[in-house]
Amino acid sequence: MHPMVDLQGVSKSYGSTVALHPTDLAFANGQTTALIGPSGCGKSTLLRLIIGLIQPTSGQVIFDGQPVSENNLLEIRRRTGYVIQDGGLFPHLTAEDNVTLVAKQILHDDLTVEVRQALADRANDRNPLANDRLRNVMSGSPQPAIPGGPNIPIKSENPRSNSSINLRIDLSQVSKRVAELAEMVRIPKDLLSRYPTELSGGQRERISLMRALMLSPKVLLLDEPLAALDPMVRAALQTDLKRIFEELGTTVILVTHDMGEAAYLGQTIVLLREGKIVQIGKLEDFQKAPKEPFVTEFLNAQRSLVAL
Amino acid sequence: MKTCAPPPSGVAPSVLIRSLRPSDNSSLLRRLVGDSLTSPAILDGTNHPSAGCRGGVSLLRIALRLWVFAVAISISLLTPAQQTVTVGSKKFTESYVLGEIAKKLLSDAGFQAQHKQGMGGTIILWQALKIGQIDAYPEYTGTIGEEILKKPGLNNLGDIKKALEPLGIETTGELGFNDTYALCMTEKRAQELGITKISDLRSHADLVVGVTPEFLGRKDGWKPLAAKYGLNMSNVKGVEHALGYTALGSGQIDIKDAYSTDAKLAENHLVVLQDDLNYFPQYKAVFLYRKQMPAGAVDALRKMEGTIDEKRMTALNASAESSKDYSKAASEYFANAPKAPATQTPIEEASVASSILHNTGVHLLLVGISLLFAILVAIPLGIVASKRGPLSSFILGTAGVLQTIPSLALLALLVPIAGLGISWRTAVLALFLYSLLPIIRNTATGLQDVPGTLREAAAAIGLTPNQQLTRVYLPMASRSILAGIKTAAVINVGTATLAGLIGAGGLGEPIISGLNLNDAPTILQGAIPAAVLALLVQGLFDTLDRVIIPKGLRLGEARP
Repeated sequence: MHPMVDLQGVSKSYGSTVALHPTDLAFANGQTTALIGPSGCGKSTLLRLIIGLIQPTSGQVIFDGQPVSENNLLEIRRRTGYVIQDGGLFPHLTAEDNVTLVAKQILHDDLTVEVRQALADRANDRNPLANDRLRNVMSGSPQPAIPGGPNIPIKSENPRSNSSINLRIDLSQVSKRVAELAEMVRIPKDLLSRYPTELSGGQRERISLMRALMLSPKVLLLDEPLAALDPMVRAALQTDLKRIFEELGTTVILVTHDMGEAAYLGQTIVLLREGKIVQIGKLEDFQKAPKEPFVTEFLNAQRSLVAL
Repeated sequence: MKTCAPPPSGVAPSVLIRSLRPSDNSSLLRRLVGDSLTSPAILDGTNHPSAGCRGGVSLLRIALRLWVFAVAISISLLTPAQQTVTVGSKKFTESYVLGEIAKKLLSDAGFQAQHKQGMGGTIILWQALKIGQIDAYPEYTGTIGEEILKKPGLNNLGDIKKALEPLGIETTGELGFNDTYALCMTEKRAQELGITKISDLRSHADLVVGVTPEFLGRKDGWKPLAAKYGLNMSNVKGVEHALGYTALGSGQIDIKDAYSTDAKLAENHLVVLQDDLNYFPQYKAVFLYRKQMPAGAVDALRKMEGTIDEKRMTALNASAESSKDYSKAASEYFANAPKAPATQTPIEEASVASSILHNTGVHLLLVGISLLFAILVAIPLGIVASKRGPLSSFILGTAGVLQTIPSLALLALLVPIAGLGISWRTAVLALFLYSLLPIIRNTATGLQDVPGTLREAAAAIGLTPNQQLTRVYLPMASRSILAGIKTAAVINVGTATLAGLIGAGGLGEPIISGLNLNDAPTILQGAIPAAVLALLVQGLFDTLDRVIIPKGLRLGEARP
């Protein structure tokens, strides 16, 4: 089985400054990979390259077997969940509107004219061929990424060739999905009508996670999601994240600077330094067989109470 | 707003006498401009939250008025103007009175005469005449030679006629008076000292001279005059024009400048000293008219030739200023046939309230139309300008330059453009241009202020560029954009008073005629509604804030 995300010789430079040296890295399907390293090591650059927020200077990113390009960027982003520090929620929208924003945009904007017409015709029962046309337009129903999850369609660049348009999607399904996710991330329903400024940091992070999971993504990207939280809240969220990742079986790429978090959540840890991969493995590998003195140095810098 | 500044040196200095005359024109302009500058600022500062609540009922009536006015405008645009002869006038008392006399003469000759009062300065009137918006207007030989034809030496009516002919413009003969600068003294003091002409002053170096600051600084003002006549007074002060008359009366000064048909001369028992060395240029009054004007109309205008001397003009000016009614003053010209055209007065007096309402309606229409177009144009431009680059600099730069053009100058530039002329369209266009910058700039900065992490989030979660703009950027920039629109609206309410200068109506109309007549109540009929309007606009936008700006952003403001 091909890796879900595959970096092939990807590098990124800003002028003469190299943010990421040419890197090959494959992210296995259904695995959680933690990218770790000191500030400026290129871990966030790597994450932003995957989702096309920045373009690689060389090499290419393969997403689910397809090279990432201008043409499929939107679709790839919609198949990807993205969570950043402090959530990145839009302050002018309520928690729920943040969560459902893209889904509603897809419902409102992206259904093709053809489908709307077919629906209208069927509703008015004017056109005897309406049902046939509808069937043609609908042509196929994709498997939900999450067992029992919704079939929220993802727009492809050419709507006519899009086989994933699913007319069963409607607003009631969107709100059903929201309820489901709220339960999953343990957010009380009454918080959903609040604005981001009315929520705590941990709550914002949970809402952000709901937003990321709304469209049943194949890949979840988390860029230091818990960095700004206090230790109690962070620990609670780490527990919940681990449970959710296991429950969903999604491919997860987590950027963190906390080795404990990386080891707790990640099946694989990738340690970076100055734009280069230093070592890939599990915590034991880092402890028992460090590839460079830096690995030990980095581990030692992460004090724990136990060691004190 | 620099129209009142002294003329650029070297460019025919005496040319601008007409527009710089202390008593009416320049002080009028100064007052007007001052008003337009100060009123929005004053209004801006007063943030009474209650101000928004008062206009509920009257707004409805205004809306109704607006509709009626809009219909009236379209009708007036559609009606062919073949049978009418339109007379224009500059915005000072004398020009108004001459215009009214011409109107009456033309009506008597069977034409449907129309008088566009106080359209502006020389340039605006001349352009309006050339493009046929008006058929005739009163002008002065000195102004024609120096300001219009740019030939400073040209002062002889025959030569002027020859020079005007290729332009399709003709002139009547002289009306009979010379309206120029003059020096004056009180009758009493002049008699005591035995002074009748300027050269008599040579032997009175002890007299106190109090001339207007303009006259003091002009290249054809006091200094060269003193040099030509060999005067050597040591006590020469700059005194504001109206104060100068008081100072003359109380004996604080002995000599001041005036213009030869100033109504104040008779009022204050002053004598004009004879310009025995012919220092002052000749400003003999004539009527300019288009060659295409019907012969009957020309004959009607020519009836004025040689019928008004300085004394008579002075009396007519005095009558206009004291009665505050130009047509009544004009009727005194027809003293022999006293068919009092008293029709206008009762109508005007019928309802001050209705005229205020009408002017307010026009004012709102000017502001509303210009603002609407500005919003439609400026927000897209602001979106483009928010992406930094040469295009952004170009857009902001152009809008910025537009903003720096003084509003009077902008009006003067727009009036000659075909299809605009002396009309509400010109006023709307000018207001539109002035509204662009605040809206463009606030839209651009509002969009630029969206934090980088949220920009990335908007792209990363899978919104198309369009959806990012409409769902994230614009809502987040809404406060800034609305603030830009509010700024533009409040400034427009103030600037729109200048529409009165080009016959576009609005609350500027009573302000201008009030300033001309030196009549405070009339000025207030425009100034107070304008102030109230600005407060209402402010209140309206404060309400809109609550409706348009997303609640989440307002919460953010409350808990920083």
